[in-house]
Amino acid sequence: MCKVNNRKLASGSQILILFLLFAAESAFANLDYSYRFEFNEEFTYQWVNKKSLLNPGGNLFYVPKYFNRSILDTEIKFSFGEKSSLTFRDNLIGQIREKGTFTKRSTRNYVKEAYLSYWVSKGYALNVGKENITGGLCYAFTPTDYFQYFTRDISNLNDIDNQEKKNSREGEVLLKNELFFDWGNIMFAYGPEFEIGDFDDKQFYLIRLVSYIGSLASELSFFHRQRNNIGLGLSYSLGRSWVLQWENILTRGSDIKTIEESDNFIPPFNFLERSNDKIFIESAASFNYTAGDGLNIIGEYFYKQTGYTNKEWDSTFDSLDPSNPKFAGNSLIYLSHMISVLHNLEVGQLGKHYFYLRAVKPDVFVDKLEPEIFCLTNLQDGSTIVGSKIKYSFRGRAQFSITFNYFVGEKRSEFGLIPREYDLIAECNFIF
Amino acid sequence: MLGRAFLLTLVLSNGFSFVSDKSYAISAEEIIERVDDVRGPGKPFELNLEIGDFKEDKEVRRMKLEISIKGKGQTLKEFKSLSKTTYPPENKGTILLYSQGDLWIYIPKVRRPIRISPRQRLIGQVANGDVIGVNFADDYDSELVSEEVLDGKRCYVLELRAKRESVTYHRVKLWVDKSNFHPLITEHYGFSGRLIKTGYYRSFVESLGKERPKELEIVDAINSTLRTKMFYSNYQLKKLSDRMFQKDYLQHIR
Repeated sequence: MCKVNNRKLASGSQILILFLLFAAESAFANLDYSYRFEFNEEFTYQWVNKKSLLNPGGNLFYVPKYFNRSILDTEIKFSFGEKSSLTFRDNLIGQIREKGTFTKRSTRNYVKEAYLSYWVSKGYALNVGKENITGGLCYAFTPTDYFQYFTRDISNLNDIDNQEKKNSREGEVLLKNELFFDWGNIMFAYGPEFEIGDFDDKQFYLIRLVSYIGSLASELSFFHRQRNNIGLGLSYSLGRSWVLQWENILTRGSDIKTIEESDNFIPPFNFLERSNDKIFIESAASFNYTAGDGLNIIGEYFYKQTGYTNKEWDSTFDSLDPSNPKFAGNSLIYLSHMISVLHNLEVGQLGKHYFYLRAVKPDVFVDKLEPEIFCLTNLQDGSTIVGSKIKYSFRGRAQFSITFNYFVGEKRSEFGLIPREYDLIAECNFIF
Repeated sequence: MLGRAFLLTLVLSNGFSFVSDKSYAISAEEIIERVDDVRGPGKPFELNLEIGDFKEDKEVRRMKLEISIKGKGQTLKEFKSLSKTTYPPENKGTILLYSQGDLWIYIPKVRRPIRISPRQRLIGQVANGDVIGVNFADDYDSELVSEEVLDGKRCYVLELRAKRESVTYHRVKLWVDKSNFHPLITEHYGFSGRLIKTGYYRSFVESLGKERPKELEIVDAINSTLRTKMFYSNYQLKKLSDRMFQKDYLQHIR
């Protein structure tokens, strides 16, 4: 998601042209359209964590004190009569990043979505193009959201709630069939293999069956892309205040890499993947409670069998210690290892047990203010990200928010590895 | 001793209400059915709803919705509704699905339907249940308790008690115009028995062959300067398929 995806950009543009040709062919007399433009300005100031083993003393890698991100999110939807529509979404992003005595600027543009929807019959919808398929029932952790169930970017931990992350996710090129019945629906999506430039997306299949029995909604899914996954999700509402949800996947192998001592001098450590011969389970269970005064609390426990054991954590921390004899006092070998670590370890999702808690109280003090507090804890080592956010809505067109994140953890703990101690994020959104 | 007193009170109160209900020419259930007929036609329909949120007579927020309703007058299992926000811009395209007592919200920016509880607030004094629940008969057991004169109109006074936990309010007291079964005032009570909100139905106009309320004002019981006004318009009968009322369909709604 954080990469510049030229392949997807190219394919998205080609699809868009095809769609426009199709649209021109369609009945222009019935043409209707809607649009939404959103401009987002986000300024982040961060304090360096000098204790972090990933950046000891704050000297190994440069952590920018601030950066600014501007995003123009465009969505246009054309409808051609009752049966077909064309959706187009684009993101233009500009970034300014402090780097010592100068600033680094960059811009990028990508087509997030460009797809055609067509109702073949009353209960059969066909989508073709580049589309974002989301999934899952829980809130922060959604194992059955196969295209990204957890944020890989921990720079914005205030929106670790996956809802926000899904918004900036780029779509997949696919063909999607959906059959709707009175009792539920069946979806089958297919994505072809692509190999253009640096990207070689593998083909995928996704089959999902959703059904409703009383207050119980259930989802059964099968996903294949490099490895097979089977998912089951259940959602149940209890009374007028509670929603309980549970979702799981069984997966072969994992992207998670562990660090082990190498027999060689260079590299001193190896990065090992989980075996593809083994089946692992990932499971999330959540509650959503709303009190009479509107206070909303979400709690979620997440278990990953693929996560690090205590022994693996120890060997990881040992490998990050500059005084480890494996480096033999050679700073170049140490630096090379640290660069590999940054590329291979996804800090924030290496653990086995997590707990997420968020409380939001809408309409306090004055009517348009929404305070929020949240925390994400690695239950193995107790390290936590604690955050608070306050949001103000203005005339239904603009939102202003300030977020403060505090990373709490010992030197040898997951969130203690994050090379920042605090984050302060000021954000404003305009919709026009 | 206390237990006996409670039992005696229960027997007396039940006996009294039984006698009082019997003494009227019309049953509470019939009244509620007629009131529900005023609040919505007996067939699937659509309407527009505009919600204004007021504080000390100053409008602080406005919201516009397009609502589709199916299953009125049938069992709860068949009662379903969809409400799509068209204003303000920050909520445009957001869809609320109510199906079989459950609520899902679809935010176009997020692209994923999320399950929420009926208690989660939509705007100001309006709970989601206020917007999507137009059917007293499915949600409450009713009892006709008295007749009163309200603003010169002879009224039935009914006590409604929630049939299920998921209903937005535990108890509702309802005043109904005897001459035309127009709902006039509703008092909404919480579990503790405390009055939470009062609703005033106003401006009845002809729509789909019946006079229907054009305005409902909901006033907070603790702070009466907090008011929410709901304006109903453009009632239209519409064919609505059951398959529309499920979370994965929301992406396809225009």
